[in-house]
Amino acid sequence: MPKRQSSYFSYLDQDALSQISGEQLLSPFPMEGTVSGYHRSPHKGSSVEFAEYREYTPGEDPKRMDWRVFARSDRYYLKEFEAETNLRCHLAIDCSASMSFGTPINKLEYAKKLGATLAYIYLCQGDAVGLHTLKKKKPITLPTKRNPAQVQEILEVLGPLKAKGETTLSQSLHEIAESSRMRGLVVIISDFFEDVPLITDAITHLRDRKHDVILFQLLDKQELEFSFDRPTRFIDLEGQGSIITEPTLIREEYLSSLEEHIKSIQEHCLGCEASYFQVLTSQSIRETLDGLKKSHRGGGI
Amino acid sequence: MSFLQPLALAWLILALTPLIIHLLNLLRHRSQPWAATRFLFKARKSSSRMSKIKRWLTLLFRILALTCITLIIARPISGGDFFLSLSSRSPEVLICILDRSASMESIVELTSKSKRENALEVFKKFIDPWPESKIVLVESVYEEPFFIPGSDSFNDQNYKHFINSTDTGASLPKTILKTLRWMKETEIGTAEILVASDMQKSNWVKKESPDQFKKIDQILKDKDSLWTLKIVPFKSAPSYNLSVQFNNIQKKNETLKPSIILNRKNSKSSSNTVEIETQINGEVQTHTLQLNSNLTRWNPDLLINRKIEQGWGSIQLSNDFCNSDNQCFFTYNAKSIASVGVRASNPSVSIILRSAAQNKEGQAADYISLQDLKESELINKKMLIQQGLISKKDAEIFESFVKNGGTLIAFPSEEENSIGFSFLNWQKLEKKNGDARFSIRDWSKENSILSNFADGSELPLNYLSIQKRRIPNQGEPLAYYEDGKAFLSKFIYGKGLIYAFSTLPLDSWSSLKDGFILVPSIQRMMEESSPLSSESNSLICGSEESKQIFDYISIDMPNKKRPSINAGIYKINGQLTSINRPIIENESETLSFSELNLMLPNSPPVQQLNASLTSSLNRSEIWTTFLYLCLIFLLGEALLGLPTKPRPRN
Repeated sequence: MPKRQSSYFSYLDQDALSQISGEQLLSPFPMEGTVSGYHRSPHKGSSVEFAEYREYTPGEDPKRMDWRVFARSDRYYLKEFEAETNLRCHLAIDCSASMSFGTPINKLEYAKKLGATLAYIYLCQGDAVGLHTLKKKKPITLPTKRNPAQVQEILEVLGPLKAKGETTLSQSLHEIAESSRMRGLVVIISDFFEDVPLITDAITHLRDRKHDVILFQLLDKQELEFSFDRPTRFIDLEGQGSIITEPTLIREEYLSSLEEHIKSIQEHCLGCEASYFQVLTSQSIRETLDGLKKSHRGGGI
Repeated sequence: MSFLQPLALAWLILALTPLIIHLLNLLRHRSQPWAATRFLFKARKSSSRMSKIKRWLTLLFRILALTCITLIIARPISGGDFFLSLSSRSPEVLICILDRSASMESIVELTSKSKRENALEVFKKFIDPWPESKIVLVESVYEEPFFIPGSDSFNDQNYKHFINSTDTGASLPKTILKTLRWMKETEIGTAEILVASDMQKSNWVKKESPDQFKKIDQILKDKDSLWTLKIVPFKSAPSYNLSVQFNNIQKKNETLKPSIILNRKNSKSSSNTVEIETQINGEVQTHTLQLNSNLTRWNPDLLINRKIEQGWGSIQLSNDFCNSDNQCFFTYNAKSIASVGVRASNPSVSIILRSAAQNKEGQAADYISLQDLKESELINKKMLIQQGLISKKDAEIFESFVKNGGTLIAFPSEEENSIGFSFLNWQKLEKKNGDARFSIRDWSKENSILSNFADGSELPLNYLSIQKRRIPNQGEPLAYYEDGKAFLSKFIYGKGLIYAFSTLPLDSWSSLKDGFILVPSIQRMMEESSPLSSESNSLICGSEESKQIFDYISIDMPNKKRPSINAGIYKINGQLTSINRPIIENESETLSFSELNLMLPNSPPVQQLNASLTSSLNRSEIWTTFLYLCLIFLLGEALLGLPTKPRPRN
């Protein structure tokens, strides 16, 4: 039972949760957890899954010695099994002003829904979930906890979040990478409207820290189609000025530039084994998680 | 290029509409908060040059399309002096000068129309693009400018008399000069003068032409391009032509032997058989003649009816490329015309004298105005009767008339101090009071106009009762008063003859009014003046004499011809007269434009226009060109405005 009733439960997408219930979202990479869980661990453990035979080294626990092998070969071998553990999921939600764009709901609202639903799913499968709000002023960080009440904590943080200020995405991701000593899962929900080299550096940093990285790039249909037909003053949401232009004249160039940006991130993700998902604000959370589920069911990207 | 509706050019401002809309759109843009602005900045920075060109081309095409539409409404006309003239540039008056000489009846090959008919077509093309201009037609016969409502007038029966074919010659410099003078008098501002002529040299270069060209040159120079002279030459010579020309005639008993000259031009064969139709007093005969050279003299023997004292004949060739020179006319045994003009300051005297000098048809003598006497009024006159006051200038004209062979019958003026002539004057007025009268004592009863009648009876001169008299100082008396002074005197002056009366046919002067002396004496004077003319009456069609003939009967084609414009046989003052086209109309030499411009050295060069090309008139509506241009611009704009294919989502 939650400690108190949160008014932000609506951020949990019931449809997505009902669809995904009973299935685990598994990280393809070994995770370092504190307790037993569903995820592979880099350490050998006591699960039923045979891992390998290894020659006994004096000083090791003789309990795991395979006596049958000793009887046949007169050698001491240890029979090792895979360890299964939980993971530490770091939800990183971009709260820059650019996230306030989008229909029918803006990107931040979508990010809140997606983040809350993911937090719930991971908590349900015994994983620890933490939250990082990526913004310039007063960023909030909830440390990872496997307590079910963590959902409520997360919702309480997400609920009043507002999209404003310039993006600090890459900088914040570097900080997450530095602060998380144990390998875990980093879910980044952002529009990634930052310079590609900065983003890719941050992702590489995370991957270097052995984190499993999942990128949800939130985009609006208007941003992808750019179907304006009359002169428009485009005002930058992050306060970088405005531009009056004839959309039809720069459409080609704009779309080409955006496509190049997305493609660069995608290619980098592919190169460093990070998962990339492009999400439209018009699509349902369920659809988004279906994509994630397909790549994270039983490991492998 | 100029415009028929120049006011419509004000709408050119509308052509800026696309630009204004474009700027307004930029001003009235909508604001859109946007997240991916970095890509917009990038896109605008690297927005391709092509896109910018496309945008400006689209605007340009729209502006040009609207410009074209405005120009279409303004009804552009090709030619003119300025590209975009804000005035209509329509000349105030369009002057069409038509050469109506006989040579203009040559058929222009491939058109089956005569040069004159082609000239009328050219006039139509010339007039139509200037609906706002007044149109004046001047033709070379009467040379009188008159306004016509429009180009349709060339098909109007009312104007046929001024545009139909003639057998006349022409004096184009004279016609042009006369037209320019009229334009000057009428104070015409801007004018386009188009002369349509076959440039026959004989019609352009005459004895008096240099002086006329000089005056034309001066007028055109003074007008400084406000009046422009353009000429459409119809110089093409007919590919084959045979002309006929009457030379002279001899009559022997019942046979006429006219001398006819046949002139063949541009014939390919050396021998040619022609059929010739002769007509003597209406009786037609056909002859076949073998032409062995280009110039043939033909002297046929034509039988005439002995009973017909005076007669006429014509020679007619078959149709060829120029029919105006296929016919000639002649008369035989015809007496000359002796037309009489009366100029009297006393109206009663004028009436009496005109009646006394009536011809054999009973027509009264011609009345001559008391206004300034013109030589042209005396052209056809063989005898003049003058009474009363006379100016010095008029006296000189009379003198010239008499010197050249005319007969003058002079009556004294009622005014005592009148000037009179230099060669004739009268003594002071003498008057009998009460019942006393002057009477005639003696007169020349043989071989004079006062001689006895055929039955031997005398003219009743002694019955004349004269109250007032002014004795003529000159001349040999033909009749004497009882005091020995001359009642009527006669003397020869130059080639002519002068009769001077001493009294007037007025009740207050004498009983001469009763006519028993006046009528026979004047009639005898008329008969006496007739032998001065040649035996065969012949006039040149279109000559000043022919233009002065108003009482005539057309003999060969009754009621269909006029002596001033048609060759033919006419009965004028009871005499048969043949009127033929001028021989110079057969000449083929033409005047070149360089020669013409040499004669007009100071005025702007005369423009030569090509009759076969409408565009050469430089005045045709060209709105269709702008319509096509407009369509092209709209098509271009549409192609540039085609939406680009939306990119598929990744």
